Amino acid sequence: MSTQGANVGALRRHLVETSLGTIHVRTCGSGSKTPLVLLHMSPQSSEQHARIAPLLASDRLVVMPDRIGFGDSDPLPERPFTVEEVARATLEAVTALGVGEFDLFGIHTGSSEAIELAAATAPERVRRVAIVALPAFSAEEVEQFRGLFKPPPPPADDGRLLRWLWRFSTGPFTPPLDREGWGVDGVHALVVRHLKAWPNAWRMFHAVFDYDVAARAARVRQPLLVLAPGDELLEITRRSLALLGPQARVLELPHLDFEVLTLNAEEIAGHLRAFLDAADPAATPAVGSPVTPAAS
Amino acid sequence: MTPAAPPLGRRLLLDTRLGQLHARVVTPAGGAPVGGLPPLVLLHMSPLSGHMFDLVLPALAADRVVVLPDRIGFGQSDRLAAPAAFEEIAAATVDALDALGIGEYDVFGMHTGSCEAVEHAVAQPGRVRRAGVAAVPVFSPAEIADFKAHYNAPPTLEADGSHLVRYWEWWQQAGIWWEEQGGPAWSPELRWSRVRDHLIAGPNVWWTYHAVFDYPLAERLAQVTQPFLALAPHDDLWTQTERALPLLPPGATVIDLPHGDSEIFTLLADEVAGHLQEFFA
Repeated sequence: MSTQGANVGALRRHLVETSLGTIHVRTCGSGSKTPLVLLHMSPQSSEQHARIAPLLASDRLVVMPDRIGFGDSDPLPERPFTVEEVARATLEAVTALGVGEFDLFGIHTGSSEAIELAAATAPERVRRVAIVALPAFSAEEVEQFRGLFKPPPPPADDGRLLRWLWRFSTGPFTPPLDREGWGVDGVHALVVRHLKAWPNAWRMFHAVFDYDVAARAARVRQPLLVLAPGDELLEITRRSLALLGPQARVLELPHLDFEVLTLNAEEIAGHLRAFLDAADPAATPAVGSPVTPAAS
Repeated sequence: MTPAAPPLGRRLLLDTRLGQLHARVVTPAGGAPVGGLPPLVLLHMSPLSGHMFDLVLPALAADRVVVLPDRIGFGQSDRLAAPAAFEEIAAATVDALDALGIGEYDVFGMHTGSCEAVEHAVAQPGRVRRAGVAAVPVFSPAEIADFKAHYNAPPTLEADGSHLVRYWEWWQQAGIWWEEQGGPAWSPELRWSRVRDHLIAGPNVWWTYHAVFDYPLAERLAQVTQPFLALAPHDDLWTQTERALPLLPPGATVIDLPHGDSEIFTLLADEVAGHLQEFFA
């Protein structure tokens, strides 16, 4: 399945077989730089990258898998599963598209998956890795979030499940409705993405809660950039920074919070380009006011 | 029928004049088709997808290849970039069959898929061996105006999410109508599945509905030369189907289904599968 010749911004869709089922992948762009794989949050899909992907695709192939269970990929297995096996399936999809070495950028669930790929699944294939937030939850937080991300109620005769979905998509970890560039269109898009992952998206959240991302992140040897918006995950991210290797860089973005890939696509793309394209990312960290783990 | 079940068949994205079309290809468990039967292409109603046929697949794909395209604009295919004529939409599905390397085929559709099956039979006379439909939506001029007004732009998005409940009510009305006709109740799970398909198909499904209303089905029926099957459920299009019965090609097989509504592929799956197996044998 060739990915050559795609125009910048022109999306091409692919279906590839993996050990967990068929995975749907969007690609765009081409060029001499290392291909970049974008990993979305839950319960979204590669549509989350619609704004940022064209900003990154002028000189490289951008590969956007729908994680198994999300978007137009096959449904999640009806059983508990792990971040490790999901990451393996994503790697199989990337490999099936003919990609060798690649860079990674993940957000939330995508952060955990990116760390797993870089540290354990395919360290020899991953050149550089960037993440939005390091979701290393405490035991108390896991208990709290498990309650928030639980199996949805069954459909009732009055359509209340749709109201449940709307509340979910306007709740924690979402921008206020009156945020410029967001609004009911943004929320409705989240509802539709959640419907595509119906009804087992909660299993992915639980896999993330069970995954020790901090311990794995400590094993990452590649250049690592942690972008930390000023949302509910900022304190959680800060807590684990001391574990990271000396090559890691952290860039706090206190003026940003949610849906940064949509609402702040230009700024995030700028940070990513600076990190991915630097001759020496350790010596020349991202723009802004980076904080090294040792100093934090 | 349940979204969490792994989809039956191999999934493919195929290039067409209107974008990438998603289709499933289900092959007989034993491998090769028995008795040289050509592939059977099943064309879904709006705003659903090829999954509406999932319950009849084990029977129909027992001895032949079954192809389930998601029409452009629906399911997991690309969405329409702009309104298109129905003939163009149907031609995009033929593009996908071309990409699959399919030569001769049988075709069956329901509602929107009825129009599309007829269009395939007329536009591909050398390839379509037999054609069939469930419901024959030949509209009168007055009905077309009414239907266009009813199947129009989606509800305005509301800050409290109440527009989502409009979708639920839309499908609730369809189920209540059928219960009033004496049919079995639609379960909340079935209604949820339809609402889900509708919301995923997106805000522009009315483009395809309007293309159907503008499609000259009565004229096209007169051009069908292949053996033709019409299942006639007494559903929300029964008025139109009854009107169309005298217009069917000579020798057409008509099967009256007074106990069936628009969910015959779910609620009467075994019976309907039997009719299709017999006609497309």
